[in-house]
Amino acid sequence: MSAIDTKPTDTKPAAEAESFATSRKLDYAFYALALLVLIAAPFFVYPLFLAKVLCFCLFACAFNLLLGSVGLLSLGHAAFFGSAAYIAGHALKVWGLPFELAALLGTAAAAVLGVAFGYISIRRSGLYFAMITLALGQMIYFLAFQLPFTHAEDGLTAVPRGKLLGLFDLNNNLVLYYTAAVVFVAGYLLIHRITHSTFGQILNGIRENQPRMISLGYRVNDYKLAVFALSATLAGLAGATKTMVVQLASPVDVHWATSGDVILMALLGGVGTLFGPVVGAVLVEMLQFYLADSGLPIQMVIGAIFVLCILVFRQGIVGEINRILGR
Amino acid sequence: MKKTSLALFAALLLSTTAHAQIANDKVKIGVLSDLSGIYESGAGNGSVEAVKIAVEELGGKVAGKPVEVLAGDHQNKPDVGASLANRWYDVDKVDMITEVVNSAVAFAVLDVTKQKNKLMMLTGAGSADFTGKACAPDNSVHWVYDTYELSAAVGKTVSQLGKKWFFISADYAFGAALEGGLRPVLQRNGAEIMGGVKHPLGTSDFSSYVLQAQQSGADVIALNNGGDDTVNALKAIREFGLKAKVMGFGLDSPLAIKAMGLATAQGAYNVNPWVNAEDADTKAFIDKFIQRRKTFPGSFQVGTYSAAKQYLKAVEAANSTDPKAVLAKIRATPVKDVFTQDGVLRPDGRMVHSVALTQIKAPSESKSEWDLTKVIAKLAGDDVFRPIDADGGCPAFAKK
Repeated sequence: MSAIDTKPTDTKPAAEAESFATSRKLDYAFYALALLVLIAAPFFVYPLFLAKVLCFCLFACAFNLLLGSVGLLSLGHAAFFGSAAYIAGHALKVWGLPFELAALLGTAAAAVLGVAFGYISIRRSGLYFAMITLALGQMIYFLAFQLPFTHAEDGLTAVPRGKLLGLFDLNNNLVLYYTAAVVFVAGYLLIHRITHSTFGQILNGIRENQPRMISLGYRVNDYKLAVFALSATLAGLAGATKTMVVQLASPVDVHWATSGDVILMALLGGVGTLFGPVVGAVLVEMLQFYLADSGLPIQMVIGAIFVLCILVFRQGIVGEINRILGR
Repeated sequence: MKKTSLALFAALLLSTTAHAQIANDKVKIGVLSDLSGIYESGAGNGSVEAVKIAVEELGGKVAGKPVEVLAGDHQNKPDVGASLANRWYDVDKVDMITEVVNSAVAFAVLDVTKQKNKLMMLTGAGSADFTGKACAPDNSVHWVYDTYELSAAVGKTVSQLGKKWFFISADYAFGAALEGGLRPVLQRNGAEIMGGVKHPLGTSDFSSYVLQAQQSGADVIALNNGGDDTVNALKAIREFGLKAKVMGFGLDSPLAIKAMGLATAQGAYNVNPWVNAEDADTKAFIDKFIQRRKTFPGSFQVGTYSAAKQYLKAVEAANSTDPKAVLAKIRATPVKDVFTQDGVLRPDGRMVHSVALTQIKAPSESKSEWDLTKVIAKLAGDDVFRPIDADGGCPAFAKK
């Protein structure tokens, strides 16, 4: 199955097998190239920025796991990203734990939160689901303002990075970058595996026709809850890693605007694709970063690009490339 | 022959040391601000322009090296601010970052600045923790104002404005923080708090709150809010014809006062960290600023101008961009410029200077478009800024 296209094809079996083989070859070639870029990038672009971008790539992929596979649009994903960021930050700074443990704690917190939020929200779909996740997400935002350990609007700053496995100093930009890269690749592979498993196919089925899946005997809500929790967990992993990379967790991380950013990333790149959110995240982060000292009104530029993309590339950038390639 | 070679050698030695001290033969100032959001009008592009004016006035060069100004938009996101600061210091070799309106972003950038041993001159951020528990005496200065000073200065006005106070506060973190800071200070200064009301953010009808203030019999109403809320509250107070004086934190923006109109705004008080001396230098700066930005400069922008200029002068004097050397030079001479007449940079990074109690002029008093406020009293810096060894101050200078 193509890594980039998750839609079923309806060509004849023989032709399907053939196109399957070529598409698979193309996939391998593509991923080999992507891996090369990933390895070589820090020698050309500022590694600290790249490491942060990778965190957002993982966040966007985690978000898209929910939207792309089962078609649930969550407006509260910043809650998982941000609470993991805060908890990992607190573990690193106050408890003095190493990064691996802090990331684990942050991710676990996001997972617990994901199960709780999922349990409440997946009973509804469409706009109601989006509104419930938004409301729950904003609850976390206001909690982040009130709880004593989050330092309200100042956020958790000066979070120490520490050493990876007690050996490698994460304050070295390259070590930091490759750590983030490993976290991202691991997360991406997991998402790839989930999407292409039977579980992933069932999720696609639920997205396409929920009543039929119910009539076939699937416990639709259990599947939805499972993928919601997985998506939240991976978003948490991204948040925890981000705290280590940029050394801070702030209310921005849990604010609904961050949930909005991640939707933008997924839509720009292409919702129905696995790699699309990565492209979208790189694009949005690069715009925010490189336009920052350009003198242009950033929010307006991003908004204009968004409108343009929606009008011209209906399926997102990667989705559109796939269509042109005839896949 | 021997002499000339010796002289050559000496010249060479001199030039190499100078080269080592001003890195890359350039002095770079990064103005990191909110260039597209809610703080833009009071800081933002106006601050960038203010720094450019400062650089131009010094001929674009210090110690024979060209000065470059970079402008960055942190979009009120701490991680964007921190990543940009990282890139500025590492890749663009920026020597000093200034302004940084929004304390959350400023804390993040301060960490980066400490790590890279650079310098940060805070002119937009207000948290008193920058010279408190987060102080970095070798890497940062806090130039314009802080939250401690704001409430302390309002407290000092009790003897002039009256003893009975009433609060109209915005019901969110900012309003609560202003009120929380003000209560103990007012009580310490012998004021009596007659009561207070909280209003939701973005209220348009203030009549019930204003009537409560009227019934309380207060002499002074403190508006612990900002932006449109301050404007609407003040309008309601005028409509109901209250005799009480009004002290507003949100009345610091010339643009807002102009938009409201002097007829409504007249008589209201504000504490301004910038004491407008109305001398020739100040007038020249204001004219230049209005010419370029089409608006009167706010206190953050004037403060940023002052900080940049003092920085460049100190770089010239020290012939170095090393933070410690530059700070030593700034500390050595009192700050006397457009922003303040009596500024002193304390060892903890706090620039202590007089602040002004200002009052908005009546339409009849105003002589020109931007002639909006007058200074009623000057409050001495030592009375309003937190003493260096007080509780909550920089740990390195705490009382033993």
